[in-house]
Amino acid sequence: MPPETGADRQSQFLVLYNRAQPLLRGYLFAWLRDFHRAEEILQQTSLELWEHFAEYDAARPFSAWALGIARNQALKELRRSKAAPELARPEVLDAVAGTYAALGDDLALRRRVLQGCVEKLSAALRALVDLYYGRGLSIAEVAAEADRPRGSVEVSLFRARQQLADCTRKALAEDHP
Amino acid sequence: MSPQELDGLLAAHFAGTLDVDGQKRLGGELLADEAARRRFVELADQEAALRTLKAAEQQVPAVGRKEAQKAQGDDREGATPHSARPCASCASSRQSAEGSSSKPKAESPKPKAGRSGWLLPAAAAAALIVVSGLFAFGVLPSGNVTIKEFGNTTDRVRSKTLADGTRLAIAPGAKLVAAGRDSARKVRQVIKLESGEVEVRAPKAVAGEVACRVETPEGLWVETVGTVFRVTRAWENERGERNVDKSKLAGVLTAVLLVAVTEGEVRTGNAIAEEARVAVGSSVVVKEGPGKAAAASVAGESLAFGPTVNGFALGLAPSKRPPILPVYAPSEPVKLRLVLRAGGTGSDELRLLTGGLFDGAGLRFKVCRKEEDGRWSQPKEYVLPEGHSFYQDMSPDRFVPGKERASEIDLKWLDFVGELSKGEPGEYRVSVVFVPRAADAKKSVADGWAGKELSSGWAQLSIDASAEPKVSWGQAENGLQAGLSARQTQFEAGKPMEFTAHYRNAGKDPVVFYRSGRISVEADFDWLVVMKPKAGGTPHVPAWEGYAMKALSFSFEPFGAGEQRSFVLRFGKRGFCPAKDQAMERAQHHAADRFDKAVPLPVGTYLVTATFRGHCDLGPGEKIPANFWRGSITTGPVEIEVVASSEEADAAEAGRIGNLIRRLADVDFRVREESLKALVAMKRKAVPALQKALGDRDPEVSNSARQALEAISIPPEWATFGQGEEFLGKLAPRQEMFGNWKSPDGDDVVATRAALKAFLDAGYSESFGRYQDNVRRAQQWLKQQEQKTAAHP
Repeated sequence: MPPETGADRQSQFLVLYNRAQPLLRGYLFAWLRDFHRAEEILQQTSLELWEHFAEYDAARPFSAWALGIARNQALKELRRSKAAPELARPEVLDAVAGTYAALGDDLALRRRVLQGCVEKLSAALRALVDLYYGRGLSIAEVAAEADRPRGSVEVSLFRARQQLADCTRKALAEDHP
Repeated sequence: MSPQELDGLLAAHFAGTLDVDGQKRLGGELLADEAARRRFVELADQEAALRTLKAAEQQVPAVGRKEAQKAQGDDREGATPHSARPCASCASSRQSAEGSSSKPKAESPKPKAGRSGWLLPAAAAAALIVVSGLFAFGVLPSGNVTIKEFGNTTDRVRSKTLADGTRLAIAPGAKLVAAGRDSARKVRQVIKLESGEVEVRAPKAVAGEVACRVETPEGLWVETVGTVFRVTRAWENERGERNVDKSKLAGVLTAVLLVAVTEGEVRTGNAIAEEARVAVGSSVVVKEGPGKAAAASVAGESLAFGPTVNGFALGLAPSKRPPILPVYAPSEPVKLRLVLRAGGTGSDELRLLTGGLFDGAGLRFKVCRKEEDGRWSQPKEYVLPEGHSFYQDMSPDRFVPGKERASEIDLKWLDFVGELSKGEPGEYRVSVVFVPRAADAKKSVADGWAGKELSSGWAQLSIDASAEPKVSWGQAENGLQAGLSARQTQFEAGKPMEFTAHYRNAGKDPVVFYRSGRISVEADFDWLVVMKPKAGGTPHVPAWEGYAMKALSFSFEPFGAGEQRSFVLRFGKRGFCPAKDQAMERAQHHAADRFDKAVPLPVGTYLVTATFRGHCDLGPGEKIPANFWRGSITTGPVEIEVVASSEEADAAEAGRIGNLIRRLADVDFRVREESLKALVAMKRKAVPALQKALGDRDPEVSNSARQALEAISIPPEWATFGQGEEFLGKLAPRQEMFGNWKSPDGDDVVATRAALKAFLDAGYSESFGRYQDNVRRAQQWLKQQEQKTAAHP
């Protein structure tokens, strides 16, 4: 077997990383809750992964290994920012990382059908989803824009999330009966 | 813990409002309960995916936005530049913003893994930055606007006035959401049209702002700075049947937006690009794009009409109909489609002109050119020179209301239309104005058209030197050199062909071409086209076509050193004649009517050349001018392929495939094997028939068909090429990072070629459409594979 070249390793890494990236992003966002921060930590995680790629055991799933490194990065950031100290305990982050790794394929499928589910929302809910997720407004800003009470916006967004989760779950069940 | 309680804790966690007690309870639940963890993971991933999805729809790169913020001194998080609206120029600026924004971060990662080791993290980081560009949001709106949902369940038109003064007349059955101001796009009122028809009366917007934008979930839109228009969301099937109710149509449906303007002007487009400006009194249909649907909409209905005058309107469109902007090469004739439409509601017949062919003397061309600063120049007007004429079959027949007649104008042929006739690169707008001559007015009859002038709307096009095909130049003689180029190198047998002949003065002195008393020459006489079979055999020459091979620009003016001109040679409409020797070829010139038994050019590869022989027809008392050019020059060869007509080829191939499939059940093992091999060799062409054969009652046939499909290495679900957007939507996410598509048997080249073809067939390219990135990456990957194969055969 010919010796592995640097280019081969890069290719291998990029393929694996590309596949795992949405999962890592979701995991980091779950803990950091701020999308920009999650993106920054994802970038740091990608560099960590590359630097330690030689240690990666190809017999193991890459996503599980990458989630382990993402978990460390998330924990470091949570400790630095002193956010949710009672929730963000190492054992909780570990357990959630395990679930992420186990649900990887399901989550990928859900992401694929999400667009269709968004289109099934009522026009009013879709408009709120556009403002909150698309334009990145805060709840208060959405409430001001929509001329609705803040509580009403929260409830509507909560309902939208629930409906989307039900819709994607249903799609998943249809795909894997 | 109940699911509701868990959801409450999770919602508080994502909103950042979870208190210490809540954190403890949620942490404990996540540790203890797998179902709780699953719920947490599902919701978190959904949040992240929603951000990604919705932010991508905003189509504003974050890094570019930050730069814009800096430039504007705007410290708000994620304030958006106003260039988010879809248009070709904005698209290119977005690309450049992404390109430039990726650079600084891409260079930052550390070079730990050897000489090229930095490339990987850089690439990863660059990818992240580009992707992260889609995740930034944060547009702080201004003004008090409300999101309002309106539906009209009555059988009467319902009127609504919105807070910004926009008045809506909502037709029965229509449904819409008035979403208010969109500061990011500088739109005062965004209306999301769910269904049906609405008339919008939008008060004028302040400078730099759009007054109202109506959009559909499919990305179709119409916007105005203040006008009155009617817009309907509808559906169209392959047969062109339309209905506002999706359920009333069968087949594959395309979303369409019907726009009619009753005051002012609007802009319309789809998610990809702006398609048309629609002036008062005009209407347009915008279709879900890109690709064939969008192209069809431009082809059929994006004529730019001017105002209706005394029952007639004039519409204009470039002959080329790509979805964004028609691009012509400098040597290519710019052709315009001119449509005269009779309007009105009565039954009276109208006449535009009195008897005889319309000689074009009343047509004027107005041309604006885009300046370097992006503004349009003042219109220049071009009028047919005195004593010249061209004939357009636009009149004088009687028109009944609703009838229209189209004509094509070739601006290269009409060499008086300035830059457009000369093929000078640039972006242009052109309008045609018909002004009846006094002589026509005198001849006019009682029911004749009585208007003073009739003008079309503005058609937009571009002339781009990069679209010029390669010219094959021949040897120079007496300072003159001839060349030939073809925009297309594969022709169907029996169909007309088009080439461009070029000539240039490669010498130091000016030369003069001279023809007596004519503005034009007929290329049949001056240019001899010869099609030589590449593999040897009898050459063919185009049959006589009367004036079909017209060419201009052999003027009396001296042809200066270094000057170059070109014109189009069209032939093949009446077939070709075998030319066994030069005498025969020569005979074509002067006794062309002997070649009345022309045949379609046989299938094969040909080398095409054109020879120009200078000669001079003197009129009474004329003398041969000084510097008159004499000689004979031949262009370099252009290789073309003549293939069987698509109908014949399809029929022959279908028959062949059918035979091969039948032979899969042959009693002779060897016949079965050979048939299988032949079907596999036909690759994608055989796939539909093989798929059908999967259901054959004979297990020998169905098993062999399965085997063939596997051998062709196209995953079964990819075998449905041409199935449209839905299929491409599924295909695109399966593209691997390096641009390839995976094949079950590992032959990614076959799979990638097949996938690439699906995108190209649907009208996408590396520079156009939402899949342009997929196409570009696939092309790059295939090129790399070819290079690898060439290096290690």
